[in-house]
Formats: sequence, structure tokens, C-alpha cells
Amino acid sequence: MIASRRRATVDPPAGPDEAERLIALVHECVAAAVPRRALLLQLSHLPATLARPHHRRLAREALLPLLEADRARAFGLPNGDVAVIWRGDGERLLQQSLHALAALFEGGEGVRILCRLLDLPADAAALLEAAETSLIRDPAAVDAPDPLAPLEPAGLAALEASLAHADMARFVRRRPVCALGPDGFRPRWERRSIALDELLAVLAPGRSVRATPWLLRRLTRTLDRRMLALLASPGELRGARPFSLKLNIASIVDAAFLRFDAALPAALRGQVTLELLPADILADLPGYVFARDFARARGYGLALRGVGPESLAVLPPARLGLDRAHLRWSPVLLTRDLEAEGADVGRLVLSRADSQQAVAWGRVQGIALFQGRAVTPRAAHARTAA
Amino acid sequence: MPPAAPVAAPAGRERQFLDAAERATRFPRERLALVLHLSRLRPPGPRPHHRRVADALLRDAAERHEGQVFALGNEDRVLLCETRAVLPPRRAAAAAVDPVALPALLGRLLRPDAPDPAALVSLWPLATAAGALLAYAQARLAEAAARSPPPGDAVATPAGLDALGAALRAAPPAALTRQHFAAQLQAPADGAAPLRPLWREITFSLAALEARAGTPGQARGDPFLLHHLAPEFDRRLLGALATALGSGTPLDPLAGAPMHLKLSLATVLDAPFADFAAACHAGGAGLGVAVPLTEAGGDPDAFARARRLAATGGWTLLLDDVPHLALLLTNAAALGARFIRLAWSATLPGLPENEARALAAALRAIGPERVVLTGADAADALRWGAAWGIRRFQGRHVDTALAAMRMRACSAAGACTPQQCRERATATDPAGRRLCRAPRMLAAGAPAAAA
Repeated sequence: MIASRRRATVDPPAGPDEAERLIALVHECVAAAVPRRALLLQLSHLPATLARPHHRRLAREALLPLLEADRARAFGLPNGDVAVIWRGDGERLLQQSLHALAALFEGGEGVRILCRLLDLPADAAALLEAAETSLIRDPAAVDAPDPLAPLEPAGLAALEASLAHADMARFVRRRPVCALGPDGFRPRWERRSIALDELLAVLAPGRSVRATPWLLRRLTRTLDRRMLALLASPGELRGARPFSLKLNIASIVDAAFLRFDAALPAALRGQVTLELLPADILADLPGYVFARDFARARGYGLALRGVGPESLAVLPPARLGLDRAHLRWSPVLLTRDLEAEGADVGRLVLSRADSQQAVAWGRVQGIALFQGRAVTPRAAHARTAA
Repeated sequence: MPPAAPVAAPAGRERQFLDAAERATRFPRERLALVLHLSRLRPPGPRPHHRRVADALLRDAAERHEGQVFALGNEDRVLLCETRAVLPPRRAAAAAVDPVALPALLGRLLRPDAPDPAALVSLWPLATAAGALLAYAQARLAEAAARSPPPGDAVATPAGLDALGAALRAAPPAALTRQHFAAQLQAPADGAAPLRPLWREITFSLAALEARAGTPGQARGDPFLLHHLAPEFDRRLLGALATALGSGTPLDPLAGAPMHLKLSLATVLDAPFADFAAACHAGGAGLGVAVPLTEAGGDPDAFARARRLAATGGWTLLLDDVPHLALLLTNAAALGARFIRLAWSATLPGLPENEARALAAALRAIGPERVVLTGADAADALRWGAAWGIRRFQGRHVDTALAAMRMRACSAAGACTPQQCRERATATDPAGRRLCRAPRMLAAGAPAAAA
């Protein structure tokens, strides 16, 4: 759990993850029967004339005194509301914050509408409801709209056409996956992928593909073909180390994959892992089984990628016939005990391990494979030392 | 003999194959023929990826065992080769390129699409089965002349999607939706009607949309493009349903059996749906929402949010489009949906013993009372489901049985036929029910429920 405390401003990260963290904390309080107090600042209730960005910023800053209370944590909810939870007697600090808000919104009546004071665990239901409600996406929510226009189907067709002539090599990125042993991190293989955002900034400037996730999924098939063609080009894999590739299921049985497979050097046979997305597997399970068995017959490893702990419960890698799963790091994991939840930690790679906190959590859980910014320097060092 | 790419000259390939078969049978010792009967796959198979993968595997075997592969006009593939290897395996484990071991691998790969997996591959050692090979080759040559080219798979294009989107925006939602009932199979001892309607599901008719857009097969050709359309359709449907509240029209959530919708997960988490659900709840109307497994399993956290919203909002959350393979390969029950909509498939009664055992264990863990068997278009689906303890069904057979029940009880049935009654109940456009003189029965599904 991140304590979102700031010196000069209250600017907690806002979004569904924060709401989920708040929900998790409330559940913890209820389970442990630990008394806490909460202030819910309902900025989503502000009238339009008082809902300008600077009003919101000043309102958040009014919470600064309260963040000095014992164990105070701020949660930015997706609808713009902010919840602060603290422990013990923080009455003086609370009053300072309420005064500041009253001054900002010219009187106590407005503040009474904006602020809800809650006691945990007694008022847990009200706080949970607020968090849940904030997760209902509202087109008029305070989140800054994506400044880029969403890609339309016609634009996708043009983008797919332009990909045919693009130099893909400059957009390929390699990120090492390292094993944590007694002597530190050692590189095991590298993940090869296309830097999508950089590619799109060049080929479709001003357009957002992420705003249309299913068109993005379609686009990844085209990218798969280009990536496979690049890897199959003469000399590309000469002397290459073991690697993994993100692919769509359909791409594994595509002609481009068969050409790549034919070009794969014998030394790399059995050293390449194909990473698959849960939604792609679920979209066509017979197709997945076909592709999986074919890939196995050709000596490829198979992994699930981009999953959280909930996905592991629904899609156990062993049951799907997969070797590994790439568990995406998130602070939410700090409240989880994967082994107790029945996860097969021996099959996990902790990805996006960009902080020592992530690595430390992974070690405690018994995870041996890591990928992320907190891992790379040690891996480089280990390589040099070896 | 160098390995050859599959011979695919349209006019002469069967002739070339017969010539090669005749040459091979003259020196049959340590030679074999492997026939992969792709023509025996269940339509729409063989799909392009079936052909590509089969060709790749057979080519590798041909390379290692000094052989040749023929792609015949009926889609079958034939490998003629030596029984012993002349080269070490390059691309795969030895078993994957050993012609004697290949049938097992091919059978495993193609089994989900093969009505009879045992009949998928024929392996003929030429020393003992040359006659079988020659008879097969002659039969293929004889039938080749009468055959038309196989149809290709529908290819979806972004431009086609634009046409579908335009048709979607132009059409009134009621013209693109259909209503189907889910019903519970009653125990014979009850003495009641055999089926009791549970809810009416408003479904989006892709066929109706494609017919309006003039692009048959477009959306099915690419599931990603189809998903891209879903939120727009959801928005339009919810708008139409909100307008119909209290109107007494077929799309009125307050009139008739509880209403179930198939929606995307993003829609369920959106404010317009929350407003609609609250209006249904306030009006006392039952509401259910089915979210596809693809979306729920792809984002379990979001699905959990939907589950919590359902619990507080008083509506029912179902997991939709769940094939039996999902029960074997995943723990879909962990998603916590109230009901799981298991898709009927003709392969279910003939599952191999190990899969049937695993499916039984999965159904026991879920609880058959939480399963709705969908796509029950014929009585065999009901029989299979009932044998597994499933009592809730949906499909054309259910619609037909409910129509027959209505006809028996309807004093205004007159000259109506069961088919007309079923089609009128399916229509969500008032025009589709114009000729019915007991429309309340159509909305309720069955006579007792309408009373």
C-alpha cells in the first residue's frame, strides 16, 4: 500500500487502482476490527462553476494538514473524489483541513455537502459504496480526456498499410528476464517486443489506439507478422540468446510464424518462449489448444502474460498447459500471499519490477524470475562479472 | 529425392499423386503413405491455419524421410516417404517428424475439429497396404473433375466494419434484436408443464445487422473487430430500453418475464447502465446481464467490480459464451458469476473418457444449478444436460417447446402455426408481433406465467 503523502500538495494518483486499494484497506480494517477515521472529499459533487482544475487542486491542498495525522493515507478515486484515512486522534488536524475547505468554498454549508466524515469499521459500507460508485465510469468524469482522437476503423486500415513499409527494427526493444539466485540476478532470456507507443507516434501521430482496445488487438496481429518477418530475415538471429515474444494465438499458426520457425537456428530451438494474453486464449479456446500443441511440437515454451493475481486464480498456468505466467507488479500485491492463495509461484515471472519494493515482495513470495527496471542493472553487472 | 512443397496445381494434382503412388508401390519395401483426411474435419474446417500447420509438419517429415507431400483438391494431404530417417530432425523433437508418430500428434491437434478423430489419419505401409493407397488415389482422381473450388474463409476488413457501424447507427435497435427465453426443465413428478420460463434474453442479431449492411460474414471473420462494435450497440440498446420503460412494447423491461441482456464489461461499468439498472430495480423488474468469458477472464478485476455492483444493485450477473473447454482448462467458477452459460456443442456427448471425467468434476465444483446450457437447438442438448444434472436451458428447442405450450393454452391460436408463434415471440419489433392476438403470452413466454 502506498502512503500518498506530499509535502507541497495533495496529489494522490487517481484511478481504478487507487479505488481498489481503498477497498482493500477498508476490508482490512473490517477484518482486523481496527478503528480508523475517514474523510471523503466529494469533489465530484462540485457545481460546474467551482469544478475548475484550480478549484480541485486547492481543495486537495486543503487536506494537507490532515495528512500529518497518524498513518494518514490519501486515495484519489477515478471520479475525482479523494478519501483520507487515518488512525487515532487527528481532530485538530481535521479541523484545520475543514477550515481551509470552508474558506475555499465560502462557508460551512458547501463543505458539509462536500465532506463526509466516517468511522471505520462502523461506516465501512458507506466508504465501500463510495469507492465502488467511483469506479462506474462517467463520461463527464474529472479525469483529463485523452488529448488524442481515437483511431477509427478506416484509420486502422491506413495504419496497417503503412506498417508494411515501416522499418520495424528501430522499434524493437529487448528487456532481460533474470533469475534471482544466491549470487544475485543472472540473465535467463530477453523479452523482445515492439515499442508500440513510439511506433504509433511516428505512423499515426495524433491518434490514440489505446482508446479503441479491440482495434489495438487487431493491430497487434499485423505487428506480430512484421516482428516475425524481421526475426526470420537472414542473420537476424545469428548468435542470438534465448528470447521470448509476445504473440497472438492466430499468429502462431500464421504463415509468417512458419517462415520464422523455418529460419530459427538449431541452437535456439527449445530456447524461445511465446507469450500469450488471457483474453486472446479465452476468445478461441479450440484455436488456443491447436496453437499450443503445435508450438510444443516445435519446441517452444509458452507463457501467459500481463496477469494479476485474480487472473492466476481463473487461469492457472498448469491447467492451461503453460510453462509460466508473467505476473504484473502492482502495489496491490503487497496485501496478497500468492502461495496461500494456491498460486504456483514456481511458474511465475514478476514483470514490471521497477522498484526494490517489488523485488523484495517477489523474494518473500518465492518468485525466482524478475523483469523490470529494478532488475536490469544487476543483470548487466552479473553479465559483466561472468 | 529433395523435399517438395505440397503439389497444388489445380487440374493435375490428383493425377500427379496417382502417378507417384504407382511408382512408389513398385518398390514398396520400407515405404509408407500417410493420408491426413482434412476433408473429414467439421465445417467450416479445414481452416487456413489447419492447412498451414499440417503442411509444415508433413514437409518436415518428408525432408527427414526422403518423401513428398501432396495437397489434394478435397483438402486431404498425403505424405509418401521412406520409413527410416535419412536426416536428423532440425526443427522439432524426433517424434514430431517421425511419420509413424505423426498420426498421434496430428490427431491431438485436430481432434477438437474432427467428428471422428480416429478416422483422421490413415497410415499405410506400402509392403502390405499398397492396394489401399492406389484405391484411394484413384478415387480422388475420379472425384476431382466434379468438384468446385473450396470456399475461402470470410476475411474481415476495417472498411467492412465501417459499413457495419453505419448500418448499426441507421437501424432502430428493435430491428436488430431478438428475444429468446431461458427455461427450467421441470421434474416429471411435478405434473406441471415440462418447461418453466425463467427470463427473456434480448440478444443482438449479427445476421440482421450484416443483412442490413450487405456484408455477410464480415464481423465473424474477426472477433476483435466485432468486439469493437459492441459498446456502440450496447449504448443504442440501453437507450432504446430506457425509452421503452413502462411502454408495454416488447422491449419494455417492466412488461413480461425478467429481462436479461448480453453486454460488454465496459458497458456494465458505465454510468448509463447504472441508471438503467436502478430504473429497473425501482420498477420491480428483474434484470440480468451476461458478460462474455473473453472479457471477464481477460480482466477479472473489472469483472469483480461488476459483481459487486450487481450485488448492491439487485441485478444478476452471468458469465456468457463459456465453451466446455473453458471448464476443462480454466477455473471460470472463480469469477463468481451467479450463472455460467455453458455453450452446447455436438461434441459433448462423445467426449473422450478423461475429458468427460474432468468435465463432470468441473460441473460438480460449479454446481449444475448454476449452469444454463445455451444453444440448445434440439432435444439431444436437453437430454445431455439433464443427464448431467443441468436444469436450465436456452435455445431454439426451448423456444419451440414454449411456443407449443402457448398454442395449446391460447384460445386465439386459431390458424397460427407453432413456427409463427415462436417467431413472433422472438421478435422485439412490435411489427413482428402484429398478427398475434395474445401478445401478453409472448412477453411472458408461457401461459402460466402470463396469467
